[in-house]
Amino acid sequence: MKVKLNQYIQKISPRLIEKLGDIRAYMVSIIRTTTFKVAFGFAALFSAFALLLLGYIYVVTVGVLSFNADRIARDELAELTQIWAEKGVNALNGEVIVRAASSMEDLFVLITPEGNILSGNIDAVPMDLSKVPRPKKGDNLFEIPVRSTSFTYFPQDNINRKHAARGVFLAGPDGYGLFVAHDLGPGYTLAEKVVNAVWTGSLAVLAFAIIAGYLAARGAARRVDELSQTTRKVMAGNLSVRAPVKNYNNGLGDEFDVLTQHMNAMLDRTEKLVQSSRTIGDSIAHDLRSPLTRLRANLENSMMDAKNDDELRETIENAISELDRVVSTFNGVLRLSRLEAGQGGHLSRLDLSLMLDEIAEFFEPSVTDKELEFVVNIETGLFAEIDESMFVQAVTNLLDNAVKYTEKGKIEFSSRKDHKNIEILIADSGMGIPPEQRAEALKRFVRLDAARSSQGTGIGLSLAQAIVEAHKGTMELVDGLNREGGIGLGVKIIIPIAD
Amino acid sequence: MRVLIVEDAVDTAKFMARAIEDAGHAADVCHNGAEGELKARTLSYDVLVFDRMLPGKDGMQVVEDLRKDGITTPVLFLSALGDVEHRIEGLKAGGDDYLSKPYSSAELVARVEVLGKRTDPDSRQTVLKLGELEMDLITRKVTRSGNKIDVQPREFRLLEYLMRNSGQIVTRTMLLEKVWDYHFDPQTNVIDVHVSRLRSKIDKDFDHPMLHTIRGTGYRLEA
Repeated sequence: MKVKLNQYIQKISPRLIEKLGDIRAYMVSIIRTTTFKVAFGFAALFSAFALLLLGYIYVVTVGVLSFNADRIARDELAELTQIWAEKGVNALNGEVIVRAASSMEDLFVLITPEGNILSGNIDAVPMDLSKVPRPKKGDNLFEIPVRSTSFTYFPQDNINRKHAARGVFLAGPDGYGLFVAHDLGPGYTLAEKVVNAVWTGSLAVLAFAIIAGYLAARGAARRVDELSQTTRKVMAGNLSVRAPVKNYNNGLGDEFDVLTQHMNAMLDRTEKLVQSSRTIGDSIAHDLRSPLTRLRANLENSMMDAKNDDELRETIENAISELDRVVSTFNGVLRLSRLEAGQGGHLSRLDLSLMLDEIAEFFEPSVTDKELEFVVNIETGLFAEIDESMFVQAVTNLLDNAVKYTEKGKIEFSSRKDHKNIEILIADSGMGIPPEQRAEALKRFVRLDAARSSQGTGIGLSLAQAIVEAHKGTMELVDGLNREGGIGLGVKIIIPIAD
Repeated sequence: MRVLIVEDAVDTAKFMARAIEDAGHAADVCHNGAEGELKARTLSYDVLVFDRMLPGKDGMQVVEDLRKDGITTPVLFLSALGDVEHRIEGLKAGGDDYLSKPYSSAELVARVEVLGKRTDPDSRQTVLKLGELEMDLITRKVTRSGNKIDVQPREFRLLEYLMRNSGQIVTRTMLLEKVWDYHFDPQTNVIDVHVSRLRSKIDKDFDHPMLHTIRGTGYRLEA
């Protein structure tokens, strides 16, 4: 039987140890939680406060009363001891009888060596006399230590209510003992009740503190848990999760709601950035693949077909200019993708009229060189929030297109404002784009017409549009300047005025 | 002209050095910021070419420190970061010019040469002279062999830039940046049109052409 038990214990002990380990780990995990820490902290704080309060109340009530009673009792004892020392135990007995009869508040007991009460007004000495050391023979009465005590008794009156008192006992020579006490009075009972009330109250408060701390901390911990669950999912790669927001929009949100809201906003932004860098990568790959393929094919062909150095050199020269185009496409696509991802430029209030005048002046030779009429009509004093470098790029791009695709007629470059917007119009009298194809034309890499030169990157219009949109404006394609053989193309940019 | 090239990509550095040496200058190459800084401080160069991002000490930081210590050798920054903000940062750090990758060797050499010449103390003169051509920066009068030539304000600036860098190749991009202050590739021949218009004014009535087109690269104004 015993062997079996041992075997059993041995068998289960690893599991027991494991289980205990689990429990320990669980306890540690609990102790480590904010909930526990906060609840424990609350409890400790409240306990300390309750103890202080209790101590204070005790000292100012019971303490003071006891001290006074003690002092009175000791004074009495001193007087009686003197009588005892000078006149002997019989005189003491007489004095105790007198005093006991005349006082309700002072209490006396004189006991014989056998333990019987000789005189006094209470019916027992309220202490274990067997443990009180007796004086040795020849000791001076005054050098014997007195013992003090607190006790309760029923006074010999008709009310029959328990009284508290404090007294001192003196074990005198020959086995006699004298006990003198002083009633603590009605205040003492009251004080004791107060102390008891505070004591039980403190316990209640302590319990309450633990519960309140637990609840408060658990609420907070739960919110933190929600946040950390969200972050864990995000770390696992899911950027689309969001932490739940409790009361944000109704104005009742607490710090956790604000934090949650901020975290969600951060996640929104991150998600968008990640997406956009993905898009940027994808579109660059997509947009560069075809020119690079073309370039590669050309190089390969000439490697096989070239008959002499001059032909090779020509191929290389072509390849270099093709590469330059690839680079500028790359720059364009990068810029466009950034704009589409909301990474706009730095806008500042600028004199748009001045800027457009300079662009007009910049293009004037090219336009007139092509024997086109250049009508420039730019209102002065147009101010807008502009990223200069980007905006110049957009407008020159559009003007460049206009010059490129217009063989005859004129180009109009004008700008004016109404009460809140600035309108810039770049119109040509070229072939134009039919209305039904205009939306398509604003898409990236669309070259609508074979007649339009294969030069250029094909992202000019969409880049210009993205730039204008980054300026909180709109760009649309409209009819241009009418001419035989075409409707022309107008590009209308509208951006808000900056006051 | 002695040029220091600080570029961490060894192949690129070699290619740059060759381009600069082919143009008749001496090129010194090193591949990290600290070494570049040491050389720039201890040896004498006409132009420093710094890659913006270098292993160890960053090119921008090196140039900033050089400038703090009063070393004024012209600096050309090379960078794969081509945005305007990056350019402005580079110039603020003490760079004199900024070229974004990829670039042609002709562009690099042209910029280095222009920067190297900049140390000549003639930038304060009020009259620029080049052979028969003369321009007064105060009265804004341009003459060739004493004959007055009418130029538009922008043409005046274009000519001034060409004269200040006479004998040297200036690229289209350089003109776009220095004369128009446009910092992007407009992918147009607008610059060519401006130059040919200027050329028609200064060369048209004379046998001896001064403004030359360098095929595939840019222009050169010569006496």
